[in-house]
Amino acid sequence: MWRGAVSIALALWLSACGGGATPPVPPDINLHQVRSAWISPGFRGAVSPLLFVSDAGTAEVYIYKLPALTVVATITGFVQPQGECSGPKGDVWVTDASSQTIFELSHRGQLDNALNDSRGFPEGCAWDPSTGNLAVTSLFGVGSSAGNLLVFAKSSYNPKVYGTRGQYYYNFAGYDGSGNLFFDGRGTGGNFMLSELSKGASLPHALAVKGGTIYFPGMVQWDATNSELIVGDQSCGNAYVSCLYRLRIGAKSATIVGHLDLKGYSGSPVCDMIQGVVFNKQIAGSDNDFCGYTPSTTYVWPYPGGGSPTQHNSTTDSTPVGAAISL
Amino acid sequence: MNRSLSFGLILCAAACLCSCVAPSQQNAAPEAFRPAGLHSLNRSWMDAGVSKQDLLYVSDDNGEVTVYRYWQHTLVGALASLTQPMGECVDSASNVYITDYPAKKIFEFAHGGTRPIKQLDDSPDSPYACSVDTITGNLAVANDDGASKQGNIAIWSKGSGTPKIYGDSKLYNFKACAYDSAGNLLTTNGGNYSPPASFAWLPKGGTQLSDIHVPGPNPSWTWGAVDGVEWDGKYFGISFDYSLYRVIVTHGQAYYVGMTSFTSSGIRGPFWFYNNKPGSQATELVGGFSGSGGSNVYYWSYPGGGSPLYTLTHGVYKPVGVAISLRTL
Repeated sequence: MWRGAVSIALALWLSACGGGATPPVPPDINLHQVRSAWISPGFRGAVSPLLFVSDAGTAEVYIYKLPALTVVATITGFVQPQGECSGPKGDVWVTDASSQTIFELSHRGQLDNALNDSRGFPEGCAWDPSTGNLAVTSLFGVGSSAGNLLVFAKSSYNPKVYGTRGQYYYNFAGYDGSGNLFFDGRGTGGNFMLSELSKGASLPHALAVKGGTIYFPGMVQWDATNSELIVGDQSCGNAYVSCLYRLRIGAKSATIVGHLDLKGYSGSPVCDMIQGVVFNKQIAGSDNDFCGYTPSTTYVWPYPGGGSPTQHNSTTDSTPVGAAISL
Repeated sequence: MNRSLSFGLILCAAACLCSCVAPSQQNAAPEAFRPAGLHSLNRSWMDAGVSKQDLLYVSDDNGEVTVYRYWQHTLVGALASLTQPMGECVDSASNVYITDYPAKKIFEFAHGGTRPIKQLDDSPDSPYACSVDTITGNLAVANDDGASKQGNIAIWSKGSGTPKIYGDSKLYNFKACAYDSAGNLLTTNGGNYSPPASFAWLPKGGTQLSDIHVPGPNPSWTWGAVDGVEWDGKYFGISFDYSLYRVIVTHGQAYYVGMTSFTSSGIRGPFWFYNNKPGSQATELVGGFSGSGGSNVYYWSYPGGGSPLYTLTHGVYKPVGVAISLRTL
């Protein structure tokens, strides 16, 4: 439903002004600025899969052709693009913290729709395959308030708002195949938190992490093959190193059962992969290398092995943040 | 004590009459403007018993550092041994570092002391501002070497030895820097509207400065001439255009949090947070200001802002640096 072009939504809204059914509330945001600034002549949009990478440093989204990691399009007009997620039809949502907006891009990189987050600064998102709902994590709220979890029901512009007791920052989220939502963040004291909003529940609950320590919240994604939750740590071992953990989910806890190290093309550890994506026994994501090991680089690694990358592109990124696969 | 101040003011007034040269703007590179002979006289003084007091240090553009009891607003001392004091910072022991721009040195004074307990040679660079990592004791100095020479961030491990130098061709020069409570450093070149201010971030233990985009209150926001950067205990505060903006910087990304507005003249110059509870957000803010109406140091509630709680004028002359050193006993 969201895939209806913005112009259609606006047309519905305008027609409703003349008296008709209550329309969805259109987002009060400037949509025209997001556009494809460059598209490779050879890119027809039918290529699959594509990797979308948001870059907060350049305020752009890059579309990479896989497996070669060749840039085929650049989307401009964002302000501070952050985390990404995708649906089954090739559409990719890109959260933009500074503009408080979640943009929906088509497989070809065209703007299809946008959602507004007036309460806070959106950081991550997740699409629910069981309902079509879109969950958005607001890192923190307007006016120095705590962040939130927003769930936009299919075709709605007005989200339900959730919060976990004691959680201040809300970073990234992921649905399992049954509509249960997991999201990470930090508490008021800076401690890592992992929470679950069970399908149909009215409140999320915190999950105690056992079997290790996660220091700084990174990606969250459900691994349906192994029935495990993949959680990234941007400060693995309390250092500026990124790694991934595999967790088994219980009723009130999540136990670390595996750990993946990620290396850059120079052999150094990955400094900061903020939000990657696991697909087809691979992990794609970008290293925001403020550590100075290499230029910031987009990678593909084997999953669940991790280790050295199988592909990389070190010529494009500035401050890469989020990644999503468009099929 | 008052006799010394009066003497200094008379000399200052005499210098004004002779030269009538005033700094072109806040945070401009200091001109050769100070009462002649004050340096050689070295008439630094300090009241007894100030170690039990929270002290406010103000670097004035006449070459003096005036020292006040923070809560009573009374002048309790002056440091007159520097050529032209600029930015100030304070370590966890309440020792005060004062940059001396033309002398290319940084002097460290004990809380309430009149003679430096240490001096650091910053040559060939010119120290404009500084910050201390309260966990490690590392001292970061923002060097502004003028238009023809690129400045840098110099970091003295534990405030001594030989500094590590961090350059950034985009920022070119450095006019402010601040450590957060985790040992990460945010710095800016200050900017001048065209081009606007740029920012860089040095993570704890990092080997290079990373240029970062710092967002503001709206998507089209650009920073013009930034006056300073300080850590308020929870967020970085950035003073710009008479207001104070709060941002968080984490893992190389900055996020806008909020702002504080002020009535009266607002912030346009050096500022410092009063924070006597480590781990908490500051509760007051002092900011230096000079304009056609004179020179002041304002006290404000923080983060509330609004009208000044107090306006300090006694002995203040075009303030170019401020810091609060908490009592040591």
